[in-house]
Amino acid sequence: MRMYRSLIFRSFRMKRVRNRLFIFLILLLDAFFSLMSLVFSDDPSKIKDNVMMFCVFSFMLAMLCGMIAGANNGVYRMDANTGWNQYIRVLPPTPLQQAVADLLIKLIYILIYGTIIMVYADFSDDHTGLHLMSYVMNIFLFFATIFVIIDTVYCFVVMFSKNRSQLEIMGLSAIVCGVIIIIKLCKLIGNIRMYSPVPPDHPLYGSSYYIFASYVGSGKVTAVAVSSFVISLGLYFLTLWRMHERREP
Amino acid sequence: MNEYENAIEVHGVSKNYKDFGLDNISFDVPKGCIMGFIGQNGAGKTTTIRSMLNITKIDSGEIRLLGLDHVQDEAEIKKRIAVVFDDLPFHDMFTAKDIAKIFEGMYPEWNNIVYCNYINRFELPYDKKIGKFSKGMKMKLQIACALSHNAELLIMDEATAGLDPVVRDEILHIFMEYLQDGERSILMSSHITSDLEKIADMVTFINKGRILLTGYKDDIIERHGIIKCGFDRMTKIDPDDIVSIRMNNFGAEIMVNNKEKALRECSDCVIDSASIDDIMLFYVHRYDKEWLI
Repeated sequence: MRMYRSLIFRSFRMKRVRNRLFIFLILLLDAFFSLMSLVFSDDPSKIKDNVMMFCVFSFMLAMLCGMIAGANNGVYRMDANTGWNQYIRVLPPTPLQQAVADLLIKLIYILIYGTIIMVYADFSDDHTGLHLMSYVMNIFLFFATIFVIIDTVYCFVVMFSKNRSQLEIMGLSAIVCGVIIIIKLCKLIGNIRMYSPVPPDHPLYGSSYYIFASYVGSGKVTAVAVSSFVISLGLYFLTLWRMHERREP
Repeated sequence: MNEYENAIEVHGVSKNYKDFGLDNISFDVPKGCIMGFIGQNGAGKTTTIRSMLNITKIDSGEIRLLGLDHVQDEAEIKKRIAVVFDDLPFHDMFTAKDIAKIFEGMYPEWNNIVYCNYINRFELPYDKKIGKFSKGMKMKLQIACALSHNAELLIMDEATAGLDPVVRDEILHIFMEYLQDGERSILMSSHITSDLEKIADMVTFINKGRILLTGYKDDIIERHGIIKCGFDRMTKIDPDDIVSIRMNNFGAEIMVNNKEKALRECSDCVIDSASIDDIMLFYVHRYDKEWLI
């Protein structure tokens, strides 16, 4: 455990300023959006507008939190610049321990930002009465998954490219593949038929934002979000383990 | 803890690159010794060290550190050795205090009191970012880290390069202290031969990926000498004893590897003692145009 504590401490110490800045900005946004939901939830006749506002604000906040939590925090590049990547090979941490530490660091970021977004969702649920916690969490998980995958691909490309031109080719190929996958996914999502979860006499009936949020917050989507998140973390761990094990030929 | 006779054993190690390679490198570093690993820039010192530490895979041969296999027992070895490179591999934002916290969890035998003692002795600030340290201060910090976890083997790769003589002397003195118990060993690679003449017990010369010479420093210096004589006298010297000959307008400087014999056979010639530098030069340059074998 002391080994992991050392490695995690090192990573967080290096990114202390960045971490504080991002958390401060997210908390600021969080407070702002929460205030909005307080102000606009007073008038029940404007419930449809409230749903739109909540959905958009929540989407933005969850997306930002997911991106920051899942994204590469820049430590790998800093380590390459200082020679730490070479130096750690003469230190006691094994490749497996290094990979576990990297995974724990990622999980800590996800826990921190996940907690922030959960607190926001809970607060907004209490004041808007919309109960869309799972919508917010699923958006958060989806974006965290996307950025964990991007980070994994980045590490993979850096690991296997032997020179600058190979790095550029592999990077470009990864971007092209990513764009194609996104287009396919958008088409897939566009073909999904969503139904209103409330009866016709309900005030929110016909609100496309509510329909979308209810669908995204449904059990099926939660299962997909959680499983893809777990798989992406698994791939991330395996890639990093392989990367740390690699020796110069 | 296992028993071992040699802190480092390198036998028949070869490693091929596109335009360079290590060719059948073999040498041992007995426990309790300081081995100077000498060679020109690009001779293969760093490649050899990287191979020992399993940073680079070797093509053939066997390497044992502290009596353990350098690949199979890598995790165990790395808890018991310390490595110092010529550059401090920490980001500029860390302080000496941060580095202690990082290493504390990595080494089972890390001793904060010993670390603090070295920091105080080197007069390094605890809370100043290492980005503001001078090169000498960074090297002292690396050495403080290396000496603070009871490492049985120190491997230094050009650790004193770029340092002024005062700092180098201070560091060498600390190494001598560190080895006093006879249980610790040092491998120190350098092209600054004066440092190694001061503290090394043994030296190994490497040139173009090959070991030219290895053994106890005093024996090597004692065995080698430089005969200064005219061209006519050159033919009287046993060719088997000649390392190489440097010609000039007035005669020749002949390095011999059997100084005692040369003293008997060439009593009329001037025979100077050879320094580590001289020995290196004569061995390394023997294939140059103005040098002869």
